Amino acid sequence: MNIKRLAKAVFKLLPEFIQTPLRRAFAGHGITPARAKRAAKKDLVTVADTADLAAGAGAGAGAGRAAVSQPVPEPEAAARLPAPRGHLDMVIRCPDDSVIVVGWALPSGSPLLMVEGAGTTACLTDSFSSYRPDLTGPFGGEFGPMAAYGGFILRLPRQTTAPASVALSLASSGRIIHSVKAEQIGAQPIELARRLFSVDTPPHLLTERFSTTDLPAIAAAMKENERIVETYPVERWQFGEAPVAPATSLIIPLYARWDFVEHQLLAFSRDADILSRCEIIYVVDDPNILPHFLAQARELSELYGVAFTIVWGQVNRGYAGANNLGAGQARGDKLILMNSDVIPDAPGWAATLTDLLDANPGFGVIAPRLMFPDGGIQHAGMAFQWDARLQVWLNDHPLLGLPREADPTVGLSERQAVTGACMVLRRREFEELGRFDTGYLIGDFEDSDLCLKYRERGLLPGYCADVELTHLERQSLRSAGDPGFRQKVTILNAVRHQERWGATIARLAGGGLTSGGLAGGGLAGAGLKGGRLLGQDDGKENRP
Amino acid sequence: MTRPETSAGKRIAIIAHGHPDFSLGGAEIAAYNLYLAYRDHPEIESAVFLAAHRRPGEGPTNMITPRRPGEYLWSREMIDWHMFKGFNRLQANQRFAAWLEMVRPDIVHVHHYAHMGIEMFDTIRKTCPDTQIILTLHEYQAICKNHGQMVKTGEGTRLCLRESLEDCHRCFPSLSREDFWLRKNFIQTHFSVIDGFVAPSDFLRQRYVDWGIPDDRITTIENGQILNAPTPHREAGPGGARNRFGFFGQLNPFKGIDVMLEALAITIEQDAAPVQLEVHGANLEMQAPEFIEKILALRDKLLPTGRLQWHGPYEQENLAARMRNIDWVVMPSIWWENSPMVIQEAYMHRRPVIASNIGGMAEKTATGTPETHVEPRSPLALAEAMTTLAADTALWEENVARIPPPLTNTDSAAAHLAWFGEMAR
Repeated sequence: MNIKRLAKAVFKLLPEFIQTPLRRAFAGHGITPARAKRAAKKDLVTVADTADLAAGAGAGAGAGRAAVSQPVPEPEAAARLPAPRGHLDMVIRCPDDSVIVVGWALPSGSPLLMVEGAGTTACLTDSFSSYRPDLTGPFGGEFGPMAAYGGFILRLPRQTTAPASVALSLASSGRIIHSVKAEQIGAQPIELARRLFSVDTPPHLLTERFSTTDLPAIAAAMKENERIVETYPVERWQFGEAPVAPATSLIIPLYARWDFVEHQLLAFSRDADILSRCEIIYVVDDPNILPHFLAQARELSELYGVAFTIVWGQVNRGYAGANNLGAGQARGDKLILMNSDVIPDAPGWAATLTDLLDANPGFGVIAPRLMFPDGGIQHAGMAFQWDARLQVWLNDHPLLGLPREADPTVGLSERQAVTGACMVLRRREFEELGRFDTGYLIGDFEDSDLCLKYRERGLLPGYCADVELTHLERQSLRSAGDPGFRQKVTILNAVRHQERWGATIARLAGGGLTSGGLAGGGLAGAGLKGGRLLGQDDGKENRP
Repeated sequence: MTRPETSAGKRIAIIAHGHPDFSLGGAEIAAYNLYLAYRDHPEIESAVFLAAHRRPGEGPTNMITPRRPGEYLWSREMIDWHMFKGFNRLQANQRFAAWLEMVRPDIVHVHHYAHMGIEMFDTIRKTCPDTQIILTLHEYQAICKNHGQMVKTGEGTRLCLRESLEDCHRCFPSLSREDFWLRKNFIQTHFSVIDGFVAPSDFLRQRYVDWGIPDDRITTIENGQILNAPTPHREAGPGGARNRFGFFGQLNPFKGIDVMLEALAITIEQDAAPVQLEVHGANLEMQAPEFIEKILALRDKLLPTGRLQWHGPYEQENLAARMRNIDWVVMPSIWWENSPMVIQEAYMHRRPVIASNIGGMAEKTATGTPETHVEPRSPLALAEAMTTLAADTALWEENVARIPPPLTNTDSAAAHLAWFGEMAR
């Protein structure tokens, strides 16, 4: 029994769309949500303290917990309200022993209902409402149009004992409305995310919901998954003879599509620097393509005269995991992390990037300009941008889609962050920083997260406008689920990104670049201000 | 292997997508004629001819076998027509490289990569690092996925003047713009080992310059012909009429045979001049059923009028005989064409040509009088042109007089060798 927690939940600022039905439910009963909150503020220790609330609303919000063994007589006024209803659709026990409860309950967000599971309780005011238009048909008459928001999702934090079942019950009497056995989802973060994301919370509440409910659960599943994946063997196949002591390792994860490999090899076959100084590591991150790629690999290697290694980690690891796996197999002092849909337009690009990194020790990571196939800019550095609708920082690509004339940058210059679609870095530093953070679901934000880790260490992310490659962006991700799911993955990852780096991001987005946008050696640069790219020739205006 | 110090004594290999013994396309014939001229050229030490070959009922073995001294057949096919990738490339490259080692060419003059695979250029470059690689472009396949026709897909088959990711994606919605970028990038990167390009028409040359081949790496050289004695003109009809028109070539939608037949029907209806038409066509049976039906219906309506004679396909040897009763040759193609052999053959036999006023046809018939240049896809325009030309003997004589002298394969070979020398400098 945790009355304090319960009261705190009621006290919590209720979202407006939950307040509205509450106001309606309380109308004419001499109680307002404000009064309900005030009542809650008093800590609701005794039945008597909540008498007015109980009298008005028909049951004691929170007081009911005390009343389990000693029911409060329901006042007459309560009879005029419809009896609360509800159902639990999904009860999932996560690897950290927290429990996610999904269902519906009417009146929506009511303090009259609670969820209970093996020792912990949560009030529905603590839940996030979700859109359930299917409820208006059967219950719209009784509960009004807001019945459509009767769905909910909430998280019962870590239990001391594993709950066998979870119950939705009346706060006043403890009467169980519906009870469901908890289902276990272990190391399956994507499956868990699919299940949770099917609960449709209004967009403006999504970030808060993800932060408190989905993210901790999914993070636990990811951690569990990683723990298992770490024990898997890593397989390696070598095709052709790689340089004995490569200076640079190209690491290219493959997911869904692998036909780009031939286009990359064709380009590499015309690049003397790559042939003589680089090793190429393809990390297969998709069990479906492994046999096909292996069957073709020898032909491709011989046809183009390019040696490469295939690395396979038994399972899909996502962008960060695949790159980290590749880095672990690499021998070069420098790494070029590259997407499979990035195609070099001319030889020499890899040498230019690595030389630039050598010449600029103040930079930790450097990314080139990337162009869409039809001639628009895909990457000229990244900038953090506040999304007012979703209430979250997102990574923006300034100048996206514009022709290269729109970017006046020459040479190397600092950016808030740079893309992971193609970046060069020093292997030692990458290892010391713990490689990519693997806590982002599927793939998103790992690159900016990495750039922020470099910044924390005093090393800058740089953008090199003089090297250009073509990026067939997102071609390989088309098969990765429906757009609705992908968008929610992005928001989930954005929430995590923000929790880790919110303060730094806000400072950088406010114009606080470290170096004033300038690399050493008198290279001209471009500064970022308020998320917009401002071109300069002399760099003087770069210090905001 | 190294290139000889002097320009003389060169060894040259000609590679084509088919041998004219088995495949009578214009490009195969042009390649073979050029081979014969190279072979007999005083500056050439040796010339060999390699042609891709497909044997009925047999898959490609990738083997290169002799056809006759100096001529070879390469059992070869492609597996990917989107990006011209050959079947079993490793084995094919190995056998092709062994053949190149044997031939030791100073110049490899390729006339196509279709049916063989675009990877052949890298194999030539790797096997013979100093060899000059020349490619003659006979159509627009690298530019246009629609059978290299530069004609839009779908209803109406509109003409297309330039490729772009956006345009190509509209013709093939199932392929993304990125797919088309990859296709173009793949072909162009493979082309990067080629030293020089040859276009048989200025029109085709300009399309490839627009597409991305540097202006100074591609020249126009017309296909050369092996000259035969011209077939004498027939006796003029009553009143000196020159009213017999001939259609030669494939009976497919791009060649405009339907426009031709509809135009004939209009001349009969208008009855201004008695226009007669002979159709010497091939491969109708290979077309789509609706097209076959349409052509046969038009034909069957026209045959009873006595104005249409429907002949089958012809062999090169009987071309002269087929020309005997013809005053004019008509080429009503609805696509650009390049350097049509039909025009060259007509001119060799001193028959003036009426052609669509677009692309390679317009270029190759430029010396004709304005009445001989007609709007493509317009049966009415073609009918009026034929009526006018049939009624005016003087116009026929004028157009005969304007026929340019034919270019022999020897002339063409000399022009090629001059271009190779220029490219090597």
